[in-house]
Amino acid sequence: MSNHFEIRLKSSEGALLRTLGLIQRRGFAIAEMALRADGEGQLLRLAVSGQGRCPEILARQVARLHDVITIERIEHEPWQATVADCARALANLVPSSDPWRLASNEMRG
Amino acid sequence: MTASTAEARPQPARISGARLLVRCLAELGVDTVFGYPGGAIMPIYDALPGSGIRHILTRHEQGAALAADGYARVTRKAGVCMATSGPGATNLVTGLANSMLDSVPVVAITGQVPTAMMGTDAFQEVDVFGITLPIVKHSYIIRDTADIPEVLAEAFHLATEGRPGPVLIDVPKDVTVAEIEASVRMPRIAPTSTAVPAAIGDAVEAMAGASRPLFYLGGGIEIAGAEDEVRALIERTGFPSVCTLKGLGAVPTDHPDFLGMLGMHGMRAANLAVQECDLLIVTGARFDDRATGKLDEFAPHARVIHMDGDPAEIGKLRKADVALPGDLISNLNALKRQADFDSSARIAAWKARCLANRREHAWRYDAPGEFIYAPALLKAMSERSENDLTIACDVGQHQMWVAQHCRFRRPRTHLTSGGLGTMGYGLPAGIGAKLAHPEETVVVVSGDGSIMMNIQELATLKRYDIDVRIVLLDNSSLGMVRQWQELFFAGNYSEIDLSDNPDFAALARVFGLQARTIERRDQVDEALDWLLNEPGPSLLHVRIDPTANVWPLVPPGKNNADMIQGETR
Repeated sequence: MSNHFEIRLKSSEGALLRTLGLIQRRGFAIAEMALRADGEGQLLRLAVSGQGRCPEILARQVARLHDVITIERIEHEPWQATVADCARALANLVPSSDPWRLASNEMRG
Repeated sequence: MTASTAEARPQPARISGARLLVRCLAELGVDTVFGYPGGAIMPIYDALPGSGIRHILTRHEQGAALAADGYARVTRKAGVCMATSGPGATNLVTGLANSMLDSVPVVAITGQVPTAMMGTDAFQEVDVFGITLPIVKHSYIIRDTADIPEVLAEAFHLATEGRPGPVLIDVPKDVTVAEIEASVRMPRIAPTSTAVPAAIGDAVEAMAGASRPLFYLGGGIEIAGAEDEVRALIERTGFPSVCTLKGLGAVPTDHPDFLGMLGMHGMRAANLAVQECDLLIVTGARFDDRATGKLDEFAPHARVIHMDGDPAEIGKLRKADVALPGDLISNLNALKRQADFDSSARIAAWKARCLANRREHAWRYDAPGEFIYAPALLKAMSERSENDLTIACDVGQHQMWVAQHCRFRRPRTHLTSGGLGTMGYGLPAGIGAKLAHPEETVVVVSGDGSIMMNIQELATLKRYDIDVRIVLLDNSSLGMVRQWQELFFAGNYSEIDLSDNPDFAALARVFGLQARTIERRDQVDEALDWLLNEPGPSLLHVRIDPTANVWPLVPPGKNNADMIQGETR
């Protein structure tokens, strides 16, 4: 069975490699992964599975990495956008002072 | 010269990265570093003389890393090692893994090729940051000279806080050569919280209601410096205790309610108690496979209270009925404050059975045969002086004999490579321990296999006149492997014969040590007197029975009640 996590990483060198490496060494296979910039750091979403391994323990092992700001279990698939994702993407696309551009983007779909 | 006198000098307006790094080390309280110079780290070595920091030149970088580990274990401060890029850095790897597996605070500083040459396969370039990712608590590549103070402050904080571990700092040469304003200062990092979890009440209730309670003490106690608190709680409750290999010394091994080390080569009384107890109070331990035997059958009747500084250890291998993550001292104090029950009547029969088992299965030292009996020699050595020895051992049969038979009444006096099992650990660890605590008598117990893994550090002993005494138990073989081949591989002895060993006493003398060889039981007393009383680094070479085994033994895949006992020789 697959377990989904959302991990916020600092912008420190090697943060992504260290986190992914730990997950694999602790006996979990990474089935899906999505990564994007998040403020100064990165937001990593993963679907992992580990036969006979406890995802709660994995979460604690990940959480103790100095590079990790937070780790949370999530329900949706890593590649699925959440409402918050959409809002953030929209905010990036549209400067707040340019409502006409928002309207035209929406019209284009 | 001390750090304070260095500060009293007029400060230049600008400072090189190397001098800034060394200044930061001094400000962090570092008095000793272990290392080996080379091309990429030369600017740092250029800044060391006159800094007030003592540098110990080992003869191999692995020796530096393991000496820093030994220094850190006895002081609870971060041990520091240094190496150049490429092979210097890769030679640190075993030492860092050793510190990671045993949660020892070490800061390793490696030189790196200049930033512009990184990724070009430059001479002595290796990605030590990538190589060591799985075996460090954290690591850095410093890409800007101005980051040096912040990285060093954070590295030392991370190495020692919470569950300690090694931290690597890779410093490209251009970063140490570049100059910046000398006025830059290190940030102060606040200590982490010592909050006590709400489950203390549940733990006290479980302890008050138990009929067969048992403390299971691990290395986390000496890491946290929680020996006074754990001893106070044991006295308060009157519960018996067992310990892991790394827990030895958490309570005195001659304490009346202490049942011994548990696990694969543990005392039968300790293993039987674990299998029969109804409450296991796990204190700074992590259910390591060498301690538990077959995990599914470990402590089968017990509820578990698990206290550990590292929350990720709780529930990792065994479900905790009551989880007490966080600062061990705070948790132990909170338990003692609330443990106002008197269960002496309820546990009387249990304690009597535990202590009867301890008497019945006490170690025997009347081994037949003519060879020197190593357990008897080790016991006599450890009990010879009123002040306990600090014993650093290597890995193999002698390591288990030390754990079984030596007396440890204080924590941080038993230095052993518990997690990684690093042959070659003992000598450099003993060097680190002696330099940290020159007033202690430090004995390295090694084997004829292990000693050759870092034999070059005999030169370090001589160079700095480090007064470490070595007991070398020589069975002319890789004894633990030979024992397993005898018991579990139908006596098919493969690549364990070391009968062509060098003359170890002569070898030690070549390095400038005093040395003796003994091979008869009637030589032991006088030789131990010589070893412990004659000042200066020395080596006592002890020939023992090549067929001697470590007993008892829990065979692989068996539970701890299924210990086997063979013939003592």
